[in-house]
Amino acid sequence: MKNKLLNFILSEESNEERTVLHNWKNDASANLEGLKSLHDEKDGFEILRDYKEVNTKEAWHFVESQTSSQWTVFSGKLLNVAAILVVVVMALGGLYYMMNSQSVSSDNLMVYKGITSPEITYKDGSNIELDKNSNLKELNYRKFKLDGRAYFAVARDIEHPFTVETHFGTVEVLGTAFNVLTSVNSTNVFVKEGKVKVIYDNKEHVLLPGDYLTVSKEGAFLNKNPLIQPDIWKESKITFKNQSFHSVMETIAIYYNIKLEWSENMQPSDNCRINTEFYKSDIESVLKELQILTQFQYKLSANKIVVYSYKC
Amino acid sequence: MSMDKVRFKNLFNKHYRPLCNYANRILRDMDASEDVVQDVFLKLWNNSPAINITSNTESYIYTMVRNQALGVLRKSVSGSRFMNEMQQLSNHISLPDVEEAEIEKYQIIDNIYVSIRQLPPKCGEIFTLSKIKGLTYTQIADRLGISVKTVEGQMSKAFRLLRSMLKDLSPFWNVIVLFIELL
Repeated sequence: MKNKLLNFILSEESNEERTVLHNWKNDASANLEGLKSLHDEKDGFEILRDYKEVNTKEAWHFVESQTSSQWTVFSGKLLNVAAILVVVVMALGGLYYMMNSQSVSSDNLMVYKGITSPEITYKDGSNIELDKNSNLKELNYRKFKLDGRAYFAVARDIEHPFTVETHFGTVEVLGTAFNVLTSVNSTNVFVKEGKVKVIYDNKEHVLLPGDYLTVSKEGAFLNKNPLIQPDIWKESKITFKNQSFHSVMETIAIYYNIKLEWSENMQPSDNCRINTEFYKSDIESVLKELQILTQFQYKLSANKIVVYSYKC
Repeated sequence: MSMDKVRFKNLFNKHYRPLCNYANRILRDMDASEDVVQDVFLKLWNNSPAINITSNTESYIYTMVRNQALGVLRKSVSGSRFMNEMQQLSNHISLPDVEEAEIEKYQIIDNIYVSIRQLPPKCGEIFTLSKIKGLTYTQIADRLGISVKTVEGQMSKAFRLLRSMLKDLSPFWNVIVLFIELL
């Protein structure tokens, strides 16, 4: 009885199947074509046979983490971040000036060296990333002195202003996210998020997201929306898309923390458009590849690149 | 309409697995394929935060994945000088965009794949052996130490479950029928 019932159900099912097939063939010629293409090539079956599972969730976490700095704008998850900034100090013999300038008075105050602690989570929750040749000295709670370059994502705390002293001026976080680079020649501050104040020579400069301030002996120079990415040195990969040769070289100078000079009699041109990327390359090979692209003439020494000419 | 995170995530979740398998058809290396697809999505986000999600977007993504996978393939193949020159040549020939039919195929197969995975374990195993590995009912019965009758029973159960799982996806009816035809 049980078997009969089963057979009955099965045969009914197969009748239904036949009806479905019949109707489908009659009224859906587009489907028929789709079926034919699948059937003829057997390609579909091969794909299905070779079909493999991948971990979409894990991959999404990776992609999300790679884009997290952009997400914060939308999600507002990191609302407690007051600012993100990069500070760079160029290394021209005086890199360790501040380390020797005064002895550490209190054992509670920290001195961070980029070579041993590139990533710092400060006790207030701020995240700091130090380049390997850089030093960051804690002067007091949320008060630092920087030699080299560092990326700051500063936790919000209105009662304790977050300041970074540099060779040229003091950077004070007013309330969001930023990048600061400082050098013996100049201090460069780039703000990604938030509002940052730079005090130099009794003058105050307020920076908003996208602003890039260079302070040197010549004074302070504000660049709004620079083409270069001042925080690029944190990345292991540099990508250029349709960028002028000038902005490419400026980015490379920042990435490798080297001074860039343009020969005086050089004619700037906007014709060179660079599309390339470098992954964990040293500066010599990067320059060599650019030379293939632009035929540019340069001289590389320990602390600077001089560009003599280029053509595209 | 601009692309926000939710839409981007939906796009990613919908297409990640089919895209990886699509790239894998070219690369025959799933790890490398995953890298390619992730990279394409990152590029997509970084370059086009305001991209519209239309069928064109799908074609755009598949085309990007295909081109990038081909690029990876070219780099990895260190063949004879002739081969290298041929590949150099093919660098300069631009391929047409991936067609919608091709994309749909991967989506259909992804749907089937997901449905098969949702079958009860025994049922799914028998179905896979029969329909994907191409074994006969007798071979399956021998292999699993069960009777041919049991195999038949599990197969019709698998079809019934698959039909009910797939029937809501009307555009995919053709594949269900394809299965039935090949039964």
